[in-house]
Amino acid sequence: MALLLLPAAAQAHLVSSGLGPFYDGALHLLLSPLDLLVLLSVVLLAGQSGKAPARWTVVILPIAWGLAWLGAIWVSDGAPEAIPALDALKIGLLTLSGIAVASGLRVPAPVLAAIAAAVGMICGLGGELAAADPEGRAAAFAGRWTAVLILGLLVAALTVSLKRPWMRIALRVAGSWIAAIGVLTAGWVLQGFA
Amino acid sequence: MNRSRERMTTSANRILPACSGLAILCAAMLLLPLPALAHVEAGAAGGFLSGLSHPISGLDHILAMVAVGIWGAQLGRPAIWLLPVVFPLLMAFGGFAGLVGWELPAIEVGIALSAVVLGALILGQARLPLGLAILIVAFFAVFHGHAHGTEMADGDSALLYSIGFVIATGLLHAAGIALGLIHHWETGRVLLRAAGSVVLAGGLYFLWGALA
Repeated sequence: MALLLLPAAAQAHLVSSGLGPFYDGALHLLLSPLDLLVLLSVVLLAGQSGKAPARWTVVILPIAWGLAWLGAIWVSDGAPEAIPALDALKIGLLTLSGIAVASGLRVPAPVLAAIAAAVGMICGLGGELAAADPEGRAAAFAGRWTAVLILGLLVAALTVSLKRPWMRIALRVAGSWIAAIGVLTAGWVLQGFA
Repeated sequence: MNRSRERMTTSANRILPACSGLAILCAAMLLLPLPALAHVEAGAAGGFLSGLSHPISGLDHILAMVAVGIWGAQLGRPAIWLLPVVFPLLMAFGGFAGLVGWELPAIEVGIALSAVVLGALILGQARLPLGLAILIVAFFAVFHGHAHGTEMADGDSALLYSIGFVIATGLLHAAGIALGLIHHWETGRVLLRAAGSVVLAGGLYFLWGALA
């Protein structure tokens, strides 16, 4: 609960890719390590759980992400603001997903669909791209949304295809690393480091 | 039975040259000169690099991390991958405990003892039950996390520091596992026991320092 009260760093501008707002938005995902890790952890869990959960996840997660972002735009009258408390939820989600991957859990499709929807909502509501220029914001979001969709699809497909025992082991090791990063980051955030 | 042993020997013969080459490459990389930097790295890159370099800046940490990998390789499946899965999780818990102010007694003694115990287990080729092996590794991981996971410079990104720290720790385990694979050879088993004695000696040195 204390994590929810902590402030996050404010960013004045998106990093420019030099290719326009669409690619600035796509690049923004790759330069947002927390969002990227949350996305990867949930998609890895989906891929580990099997084909059906992975299919649900790669469809529901981007839809929830997009709907939440549109909702944030609508509620804020076109000027969404960052909600720092959501970062704490992202850290919690990536830790739990990492532990589930490390444990080799196979989560049922409906549960994973709910998790994917929650992740999409939290990331979409987080005021992402609040720093983008208003006129290019829609294109930037389209770029970021496309990056979420493509990355999710690729990682889920790759994870589902991992059949050999050592590949599944590597996946579980990756899960333990993600969970460890989440736990350590939570400690730092509680200590006052953003 | 014989066929399975032949298959194991064949796969070991394939893996071992690659691992030996990797180990030689890693050893050679230690000899490379480092650039002199006029400024410390700052911001995101600084946080990641600081986390990445922290575990390899202390010999006590290196000895224990590599020893976990070697012992896991000696024990074989499933310990070879379970120990490196358990260690980062409990290490992060130790770091979390340190960051939120939960004190642990005799942290430096615990870290030194981890090298002593793991070195002795490698030296003796101890084949403990899996649960006990996990318990030993998890216990010492908390000390390492408490001491090393909480040392970030002001201004660094906490998330990127944590990413770098966990990756470096995992790679040290991987180096230990790669070294430990030579236990498929008779000579390799002797060399690993010698490596265990080095870890044990290093641990005793650090224990002496912690108690003095």
